[in-house]
Amino acid sequence: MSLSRVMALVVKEIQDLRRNGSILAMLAVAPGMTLLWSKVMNFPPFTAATIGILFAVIMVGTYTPAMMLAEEKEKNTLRVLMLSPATPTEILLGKGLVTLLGVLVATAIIMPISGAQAQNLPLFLLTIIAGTVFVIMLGFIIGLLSPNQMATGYIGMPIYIVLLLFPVLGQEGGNVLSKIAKFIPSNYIGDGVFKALKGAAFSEGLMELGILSGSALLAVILFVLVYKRKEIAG
Amino acid sequence: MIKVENLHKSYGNKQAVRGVSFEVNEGEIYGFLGPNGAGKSTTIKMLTGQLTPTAGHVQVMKYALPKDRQALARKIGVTPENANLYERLTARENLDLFCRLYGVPTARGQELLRRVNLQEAANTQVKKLSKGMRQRVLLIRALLHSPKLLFLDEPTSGLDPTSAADIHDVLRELNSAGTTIFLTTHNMEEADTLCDRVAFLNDGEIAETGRPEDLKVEYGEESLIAVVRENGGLVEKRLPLSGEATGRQVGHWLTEGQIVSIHSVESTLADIFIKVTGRKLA
Repeated sequence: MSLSRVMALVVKEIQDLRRNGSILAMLAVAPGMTLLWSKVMNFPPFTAATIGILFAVIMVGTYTPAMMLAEEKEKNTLRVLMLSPATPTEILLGKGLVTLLGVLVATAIIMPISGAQAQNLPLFLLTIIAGTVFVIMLGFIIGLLSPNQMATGYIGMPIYIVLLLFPVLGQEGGNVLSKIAKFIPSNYIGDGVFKALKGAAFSEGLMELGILSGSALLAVILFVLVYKRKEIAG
Repeated sequence: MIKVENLHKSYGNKQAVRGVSFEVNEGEIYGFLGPNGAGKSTTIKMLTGQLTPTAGHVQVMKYALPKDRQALARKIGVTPENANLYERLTARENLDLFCRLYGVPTARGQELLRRVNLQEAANTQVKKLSKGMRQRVLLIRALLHSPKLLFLDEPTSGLDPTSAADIHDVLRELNSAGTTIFLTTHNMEEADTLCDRVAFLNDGEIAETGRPEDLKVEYGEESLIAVVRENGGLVEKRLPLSGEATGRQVGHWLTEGQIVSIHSVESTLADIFIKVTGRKLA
């Protein structure tokens, strides 16, 4: 693997993203919602930040790589990349890194809007990164399965809903949704972020980190299986 | 440079390429000619490692395909039929990306843009470029790493004559500098102008192959075309260039003062293609 080729692909993705209205809009959704929850609905800072970051990780982290991959397939640009010295791993890494950067930028905007501060910054960042890697791999799977950009909507929508709905609606605890949420990895993004914001010790967030890292690993294995069947360029 | 033996490609029950064999020598411009659906693009994809053949042997440079496709990819230039550039990026950004991927200085892209008179469009988004400009950017992209072998899939399809002529000039210049070119086209004039040798592809099979001038000698029929006055209008008449009957007929028209114009014509590659395959190119 060549770091310079990965960086070339990262630069290209950033140049493209600056002019990609649909992905820019997706990046703005979570900070916009946080503004609403925080300033209009008067959510407490930690709650507004946690739900905002959960939205950012899931929506940006899943939608962006799915759209990037599906668009490259649809417009046949992926074939040319595959004919260049760039390997499939480098191509995916370039897209994944830019997606992670997008999630971190959205998080950086959400924090001052919500008025929250991360009391345990390392745990906060590691939880977001592990959660984002998990959803990025799901996004790549959606991208592989989608013949074009439009298809990422109907193929990805059930996944977006499951990842987002159960953790948010299961917040109350004790109900059926909260019981189901325990089996949804994205639930632990919210839990881990909330603990880190509140200043929990690193050891208290290890369970969430472990579940998210394990889920990310399983998602990588699932991606490889789908990739072997579909091939990256379709 | 390219050696292909008994190449087959099937999609389910449909055979796209059926037992194609040919060789391309170093320094040649070799044209693969045929109508849409003849199997040209499928063949070029197998020669560039994008598709795995169902059967047969392909050797490109010293690489056996599909086994060595990754190593080959760094050595060849490919211009696909679709203008698959990043449309939101500028021409310069598109070229800079591939310069970095191939490990060549980004100045190489600028140098080539100047060579095809596109330096003023360098900072224009690709989606705002004309089709001819995009085609030139595609060609440049394939040349960034100075490949010795270039694959072009319908390089001038849909272009106006001026843009097509610009592309032809660049290809001739490259070929003069030693680049071997394999191109597919359904434009017989393009093939006649550019190619050292051609192969007619029809229904996935090579129907005929040879140098354009040799094919014209073998299959061509030289004719005479006369525009004559007949029944108050002008009518174009085509006759064999020699023979007693032609002499008598032309003599008659001359005597009657019917001839408006008269000239000889030689067969084109398009005429020969129809004669060999029984199919039109459109």
